[in-house]
Amino acid sequence: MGPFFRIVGGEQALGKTVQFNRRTCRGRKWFVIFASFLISTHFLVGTASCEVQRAEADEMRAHCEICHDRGMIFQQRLTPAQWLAEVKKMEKWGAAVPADQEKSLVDYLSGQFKAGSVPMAAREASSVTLLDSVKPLADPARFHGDARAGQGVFTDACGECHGPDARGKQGPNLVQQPILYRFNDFQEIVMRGRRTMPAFSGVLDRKQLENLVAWLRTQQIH
Amino acid sequence: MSELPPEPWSRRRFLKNLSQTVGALALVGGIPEIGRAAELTQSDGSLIVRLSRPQDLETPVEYLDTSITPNPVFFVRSHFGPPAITKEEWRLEFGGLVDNSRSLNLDDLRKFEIVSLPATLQCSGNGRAFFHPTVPGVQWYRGAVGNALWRGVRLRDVLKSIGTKSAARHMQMRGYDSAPMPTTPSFTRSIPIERALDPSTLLAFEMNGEPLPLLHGGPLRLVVPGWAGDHWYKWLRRIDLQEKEADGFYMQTAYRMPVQPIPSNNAASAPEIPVTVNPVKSLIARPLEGSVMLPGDHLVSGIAFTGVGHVVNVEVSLDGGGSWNRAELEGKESEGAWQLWRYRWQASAKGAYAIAARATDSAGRVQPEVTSWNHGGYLWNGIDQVHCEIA
Repeated sequence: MGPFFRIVGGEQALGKTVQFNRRTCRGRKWFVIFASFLISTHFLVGTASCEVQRAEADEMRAHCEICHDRGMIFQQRLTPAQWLAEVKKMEKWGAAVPADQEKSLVDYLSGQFKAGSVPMAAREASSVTLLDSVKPLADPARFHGDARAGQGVFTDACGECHGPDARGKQGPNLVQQPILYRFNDFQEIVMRGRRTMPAFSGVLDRKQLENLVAWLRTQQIH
Repeated sequence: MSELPPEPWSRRRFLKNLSQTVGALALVGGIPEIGRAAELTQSDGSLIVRLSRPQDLETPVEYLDTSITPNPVFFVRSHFGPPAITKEEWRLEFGGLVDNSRSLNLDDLRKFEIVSLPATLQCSGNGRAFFHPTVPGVQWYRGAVGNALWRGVRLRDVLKSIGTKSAARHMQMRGYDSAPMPTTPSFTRSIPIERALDPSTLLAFEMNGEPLPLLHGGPLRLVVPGWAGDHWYKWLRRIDLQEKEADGFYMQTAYRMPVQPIPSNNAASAPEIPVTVNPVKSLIARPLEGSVMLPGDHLVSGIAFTGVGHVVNVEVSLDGGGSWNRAELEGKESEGAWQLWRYRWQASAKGAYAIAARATDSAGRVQPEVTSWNHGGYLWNGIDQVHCEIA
């Protein structure tokens, strides 16, 4: 399955609109496979349509989900003018949407999450689990970070995207964030990558991660 | 009466509402339980996830049935998510038009008289999902509201000890939280000096007997009873007294409403003022939407509050607003805090019912059927409705 399917099939509850689109996309695929027995051009047209949706969903992921999860988008039901205003606002706030992709992003959002369509059901979750997810945790046993060494790790591996002072650039601000006090989660994200962030397993080792966290903890935003 | 759009249900919500139906049937006409929130333990309770990063979490309506909303199910509103700051590092700085710039820690603050008060905290966007045409923003339905016992010190006492200059008209607040990008505007708000000096305005470090939880602004937040949540500043870092309202997106663009009602979807530049006082409002906690119950006595119950003064009357309609019956208000009124209400419904006739509730406050303000449209979707207080069936 392509990236579009991963997006709508993630941990978020699925909206009716999105489910509908997933179904139509999948349905169209089967139809296309069937039709391709008859006329090969139908196959090409149908596949191209799904590819376009995948590309737009990838755009959404790349530009929007750096700062907030996709739920923020899924719950909106807006007109094209409202979506354009939202995208413009986010560009001003730091979303690096290339000029030639803005229109396709707005078209995609206006088509998927359009004013007047049925809103999605939000998921519910255990309040304790939710509240615990940002709580600082004790460091693992034998954790020892060297902040001085960590600065070099940051400059070499992270600064390009998170900014030279870690306060955010293409990737988000890392200073004074709860993730710095949840080492296992931090390690998971850095080693495996997340959304548009690449995986650093094979690039950084555990010792370097400890140093990196130690340096980030010394930084203050205010 | 116009119909409120129903909130779409998650599978979990559907099962929960179904279980209430079965429970009511088993009672065979008995009064359903009240005070479900009071039975919560640390290990249960759930919140509706409007947004998981940063966290915007809504309280399900069935928990809006106790005078105090327990912390584990109290709604959470975040602009950027909590900062990592320890109590030891934490300081509150005072600057601007003050006699002495000061930096206080929690022990310094505790030297002032410590007071407790119950107060309702409501996000100004609570009910945004009911506005038509739809507006952008977190799509809260009913539960971006809670009532807690707040403990802390009066802001007035602290400001008096620091000394404010006569030119000071507004108090700007900044927090330890930070935006994800340097180009994203920081969250900052200001309140007029009169509101800062009101004896009910607190610097609170406890919520419902616990140290203020991180997601609720711990270690210190402002408590502004009667005013919408955007003034209840979390993770307070700095207070500046100044002549003018704060600049910035969150003061000059967001959290503003037209002075006079405007036509729906009219974005023309009508004069606007900051969102401040909560309007009179009631919400129905029982029965749950979609309940099926046997004929007999049932309890219709919920909460009611207003920003200034207190609620004097809550009425319940069983026929979608055709006729109204007076509900009973529980407990003593306390300005800025909600009161519970209940109405004993002797349901004899089988059929479908549209139950509605409307509150009136001490200034004679009554909940409207529909709140005037505004582009931010703020301060919804339209008459609440639920649908159920006697079978």
